[in-house]
Amino acid sequence: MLTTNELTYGKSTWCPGCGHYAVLNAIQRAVIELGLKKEETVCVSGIGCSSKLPEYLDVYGFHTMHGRSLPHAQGVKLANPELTVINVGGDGDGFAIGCGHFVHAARRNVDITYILMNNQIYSLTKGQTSPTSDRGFITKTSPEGAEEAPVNTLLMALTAGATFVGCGFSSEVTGLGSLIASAVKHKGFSFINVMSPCVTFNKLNTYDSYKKQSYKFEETTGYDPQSYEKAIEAALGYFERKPLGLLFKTETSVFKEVHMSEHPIAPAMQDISDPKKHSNLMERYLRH
Amino acid sequence: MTSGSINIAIGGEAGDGILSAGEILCKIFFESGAGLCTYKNFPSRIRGGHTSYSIRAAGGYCSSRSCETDILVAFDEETFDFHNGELKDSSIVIYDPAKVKNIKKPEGCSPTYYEIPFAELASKNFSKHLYKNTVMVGVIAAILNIEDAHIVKGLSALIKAKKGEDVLKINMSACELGMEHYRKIEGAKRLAMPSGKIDAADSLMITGNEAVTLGAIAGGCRFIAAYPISPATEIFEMMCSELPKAGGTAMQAEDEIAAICAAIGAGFAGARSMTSTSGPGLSLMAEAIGLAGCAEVPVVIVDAQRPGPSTGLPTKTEQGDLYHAIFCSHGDIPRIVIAAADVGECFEFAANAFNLAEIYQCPVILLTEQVIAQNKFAAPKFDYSNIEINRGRLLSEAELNKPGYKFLRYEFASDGVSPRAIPSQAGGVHLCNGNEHLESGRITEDPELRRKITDKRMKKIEAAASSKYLPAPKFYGDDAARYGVIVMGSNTGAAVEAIDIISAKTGRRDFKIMQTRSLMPFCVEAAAEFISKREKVFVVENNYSAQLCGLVKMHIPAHGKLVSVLKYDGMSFAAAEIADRLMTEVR
Repeated sequence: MLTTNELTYGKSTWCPGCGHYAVLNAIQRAVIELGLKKEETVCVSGIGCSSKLPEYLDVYGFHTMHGRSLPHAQGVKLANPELTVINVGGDGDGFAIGCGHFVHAARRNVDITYILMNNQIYSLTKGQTSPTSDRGFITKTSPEGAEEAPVNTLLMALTAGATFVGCGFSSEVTGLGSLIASAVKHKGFSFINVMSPCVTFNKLNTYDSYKKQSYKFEETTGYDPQSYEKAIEAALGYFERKPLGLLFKTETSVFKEVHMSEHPIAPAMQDISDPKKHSNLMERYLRH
Repeated sequence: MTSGSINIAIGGEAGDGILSAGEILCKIFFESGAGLCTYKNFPSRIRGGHTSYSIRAAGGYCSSRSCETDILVAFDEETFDFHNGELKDSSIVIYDPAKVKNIKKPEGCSPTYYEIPFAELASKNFSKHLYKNTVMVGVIAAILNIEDAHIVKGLSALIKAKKGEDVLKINMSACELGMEHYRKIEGAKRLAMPSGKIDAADSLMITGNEAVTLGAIAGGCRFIAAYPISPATEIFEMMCSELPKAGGTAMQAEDEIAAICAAIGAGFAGARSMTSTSGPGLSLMAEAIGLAGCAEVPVVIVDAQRPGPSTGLPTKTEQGDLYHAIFCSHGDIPRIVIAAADVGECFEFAANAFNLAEIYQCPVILLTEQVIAQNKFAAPKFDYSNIEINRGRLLSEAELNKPGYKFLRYEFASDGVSPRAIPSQAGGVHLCNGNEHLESGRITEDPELRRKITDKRMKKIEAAASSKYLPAPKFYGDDAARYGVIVMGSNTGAAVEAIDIISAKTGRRDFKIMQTRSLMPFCVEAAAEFISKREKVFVVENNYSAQLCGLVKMHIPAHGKLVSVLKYDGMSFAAAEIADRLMTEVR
């Protein structure tokens, strides 16, 4: 069995106290809990503080470009469905520049896990408003306070068709670890919104404020992660009260699942050494 | 110039069935052993607007359209506006009085006109006016004295499979009706099919997009992500149905950025992967092409060019993406750009693009053009035995785990080509990175290492320049020729015919052609030698800004020998047009 140490690469450059340490640790716990091998696990990210996570996680990794990690992650998974693909990134990366890809990743339902490390601010560029910033939040690019309505990531995930939607918090690393493990086990597109405070640039959304706002969703009366309506209701209340844990989970057809069951060998593992095997495709263009 | 070919143009409204009638004629000509190429002129909409389908049936393989028409079929009056300039004294014009009330005659020549009520004949005999197209096919068959056996084969090949035996029978009768009708016209003119024949049993009739698809699958492509766009869509459509049968996967992306990113993800995971697009899509892909360059991920991008800028002319042709293909994306990256001239090269280059991408671990852009991509050509059967699969420095698990070996994904290799491992391989765990990185792949900002890794990446271009998978320039004509012609892509066939036309007119062989098949890396030495031996060199290309000429000048010191011959009206060059322009230039 792997250890957290074996799954750690180098020394991180995150600020002391950054919420992202806990996410890294929670992912490592999930990998260990699920008994995954390093070589079968791929962590894909975009650009930002949170997207540096694959730099510090010792599995196969792909540090791609800003906002486009989800298409890359889907490509990895479709090329080799045997792999476990975990996509990580921040709120600017995933819900500003990359927002369009999120909606399509959710509705396409490729079997990958997307962990959003949501700190409600742009940190790597040192403090600008983000699409998840609270209204009125004062930053260098919103000196009068953020004017736009924040993106409700949980609600968007649910309405776009994500088949696994959860919410975690960097202060709750044990719960987050097992939530990630069940997201990875889930067949289909799983999404976890993690409140991961930026201690340097966001003095509004802090460990304390998140703690005050959050509650354990599974402890609510009549908890039923099969219920779409209850999940929607909890997501609608996200800006006031943040539901922790699994909100919603459903089983539906996974993208290319049929293809994969018909072709036991992954596209990336196909024997391509004999081009002549495909010369029959030419026949339809020959003389009758 | 048309002594060796018969050119037919059918004009009417989009949605009139002209394209399908054209396809039937092509099939009949192909069955009869004619070499052929088609030229579709159609608007970017589903119904309405003028459409024409031109077919050149030649005595041998041909890859460029003609600018003369021997038989013109007019289903509407607009046909005359588009095609009168192509007529000559010997031409036959047949028109349907249903929609053609006024015949606009060309100036300077007197073709022969026949009024044939296609629609009326069809409605009266077959209760559906749509059979007018098949009646028309019969008339053309009568004019050209085509053997019944070829007609039957041509018709049944296209109709039976799609619509069944009954529909085929009606079409046969409609065709016979057309033939009889024409034969009854007293003194009706006949034209002869070209005497030469291709070896039809060893030939294909295929479009460039289809050829690219066949080449890609043969070349081991097992993943495609794309977004529908004219004129590249057919590649993705065919991949969606054929790739799964070869064990691969296709994904329709939400946009071209997602398309190339998914393809890059698949390339990183070890599948030979590609995307297909046209100019607007290539523009969106620019940043990701940089990522593939920096992170050294193999990926193939097929760009079926159409005229830009912006939406431009989605169903017309141009060669205006060259600069973008060579320069797009910020920073310095190694990339390979190749351009195919015909369906044979579409097949061969598509297959080899994956070798180049994997060997040099970089993006490879294959340029085609609408005129090749969407038109049909007769070509020799593709030679699958010529295709090799070379996966470059992709290591096996055994190699990765050899005692004492330490795998470094971006190792400073002498030729710049580092060893590669893919997820699932033990011993190959690494970080693939679009941030500047160390040999291990981990992020760095160290100035010395930054310089070293940039040098390493860019060195791969030098290595690629001498690769056997990189198509070398091709030359046509006599080495003693005074003048040179430099072309790329579809202009090759037209230019080769143009120098024959010029020789026939002048009795001299004054022109030699150089087809630049690889644009990046560019064949600098060959081009320099070619230019140095010539008095003047004409660079013939389809764009406004003389991009190929600019590329030549970038590599070879300017010396005033280069003259641009340009065309950017959305149409491809015809051989006679190039011949005229060249003769004017050297007069």
